[in-house]
Amino acid sequence: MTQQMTEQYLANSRRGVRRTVTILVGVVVAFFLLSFLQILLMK
Amino acid sequence: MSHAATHDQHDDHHGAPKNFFQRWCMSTNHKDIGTLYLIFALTMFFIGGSFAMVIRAELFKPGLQLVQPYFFNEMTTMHALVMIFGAIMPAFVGLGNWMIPLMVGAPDMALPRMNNLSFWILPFAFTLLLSTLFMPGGGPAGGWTMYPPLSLQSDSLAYVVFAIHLMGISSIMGAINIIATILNMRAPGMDLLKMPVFVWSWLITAFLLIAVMPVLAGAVTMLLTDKYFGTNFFNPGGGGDPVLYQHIFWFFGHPEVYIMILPAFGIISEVIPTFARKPIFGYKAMVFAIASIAFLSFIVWAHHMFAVGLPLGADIFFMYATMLIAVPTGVKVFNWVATMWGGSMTFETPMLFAVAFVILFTIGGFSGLMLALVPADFQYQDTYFVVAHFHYVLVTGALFAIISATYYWLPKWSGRMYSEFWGKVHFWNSVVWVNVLFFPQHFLGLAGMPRRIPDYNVAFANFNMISSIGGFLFGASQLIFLGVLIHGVFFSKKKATDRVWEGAKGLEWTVPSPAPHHTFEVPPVIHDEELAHGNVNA
Repeated sequence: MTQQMTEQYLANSRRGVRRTVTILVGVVVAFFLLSFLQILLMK
Repeated sequence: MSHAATHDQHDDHHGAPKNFFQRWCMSTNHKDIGTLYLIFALTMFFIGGSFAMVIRAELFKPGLQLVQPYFFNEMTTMHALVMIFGAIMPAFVGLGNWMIPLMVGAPDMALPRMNNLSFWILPFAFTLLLSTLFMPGGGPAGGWTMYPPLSLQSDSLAYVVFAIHLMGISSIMGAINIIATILNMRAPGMDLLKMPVFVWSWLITAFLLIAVMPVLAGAVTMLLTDKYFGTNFFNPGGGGDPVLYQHIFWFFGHPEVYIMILPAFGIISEVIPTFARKPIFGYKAMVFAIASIAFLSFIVWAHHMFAVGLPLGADIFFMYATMLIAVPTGVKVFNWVATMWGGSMTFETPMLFAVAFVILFTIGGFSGLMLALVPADFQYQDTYFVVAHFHYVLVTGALFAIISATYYWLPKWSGRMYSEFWGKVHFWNSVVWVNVLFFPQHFLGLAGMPRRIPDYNVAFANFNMISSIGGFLFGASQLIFLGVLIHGVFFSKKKATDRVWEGAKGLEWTVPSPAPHHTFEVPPVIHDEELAHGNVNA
């Protein structure tokens, strides 16, 4: 029972890590491009 | 909790690799990578400190004494870049790497290989940055803010921009790793609002890093294209605007200031409850205060630019928004005092540095409030008052917190107690000389001495001499720190217990000292009453 819980816990962690990293990388790219966009908007 | 500790020893059946190269260059272990970050930060601290010694030696007397003005400007620029990106930030990342998995009951960071890459980028980035000092044309000398058009005149701009890109990539990867670890790897039962304040402070700091490091990368990329690819982002002759660079830079730069202080708040919130033997006062308020400060850090950037001639409405908005930060910061200071109030306090070295932090950081906060006032700032802009302000915040703030954390967790890392006597000698020397170094700089600034100059009016001679003497002795005091560390790690005979400090609570104190190479491979059992801040729902 404990073993099963640990495996499910690890699987959930891995899935969560993948989702978190995907979202955060998207945010990083968006902010990088935003700094250029800021210039175009202020022109 | 004891259950967790038992599991731990059982899990440590495979230790660290014996091969030096494998252990330290190819490591994916959060403790080893944390150690690497801390050693790197300490090295950079002494390199950046040696630049500060050159600055204070030149300013010891009026007139040009030791170095040429261009070299002096290189020193002020490099001192800032090395201390900010090489010493303070990697030190916090090192502490986070070491302690976050231990504090949330995770076996390691979420992305161990990326963790290795995040660290190993840094030595290359700083070798590149420091190598510019030896190049024809010299290193960057236009200040760490790299304002155009001055920064565009530097021959080494491309090297510096590349070095900053590398540092930014390292920081972003580190931040993603920390967020992924905290959000997904906590032990069952370690709810978000049960996490130690240090972990909370790092979670919020990591979001700040992710939001602003790409903006710095964008700003310096535009500098690069302006210099080498014929663009005119910041060139008025081509329709650009140099003030725009300042907006973009400070949109990064102000949150960057909080990136360097929020983890310090977290550290102090761990140290004070331990030595006051009381749970932190107002745990949730402390967490919300950190989040509020982080949010406000995004809407105050133009207070660095009052003197460029912003519209009056912008001046007023940024002035009031900046002053608003005093509210959550005040909550934190009062809560630290309330935690100490009525506690059974003892004053071991980590606590001494923490108490000094609370007092001296508050002085830096108050001078910050003065600088937030638009009419007053017109007088203070670019004077030594600003230098005094940010050194109170960053040296007696961020650096003292890092030193406090090092003394606090060193026995857990090394398994040996450091010398309390020499720790206290280090503390008293640091706290006296740091004030001799920076307090007179308030008076110099108010009297009108500009920052970033190698020579000055004789009217400023006495306070500069006092400041330089303080600087030399503060610098020398840090050699005591180095000695205490080397002794504490390699030679001390006194073994550390698992809990180390009588009042210490939290998961990290349930593992043996020194912490085994692998910990929490089986998630620990969390008991609310054993958490550092008590039962928050009680």
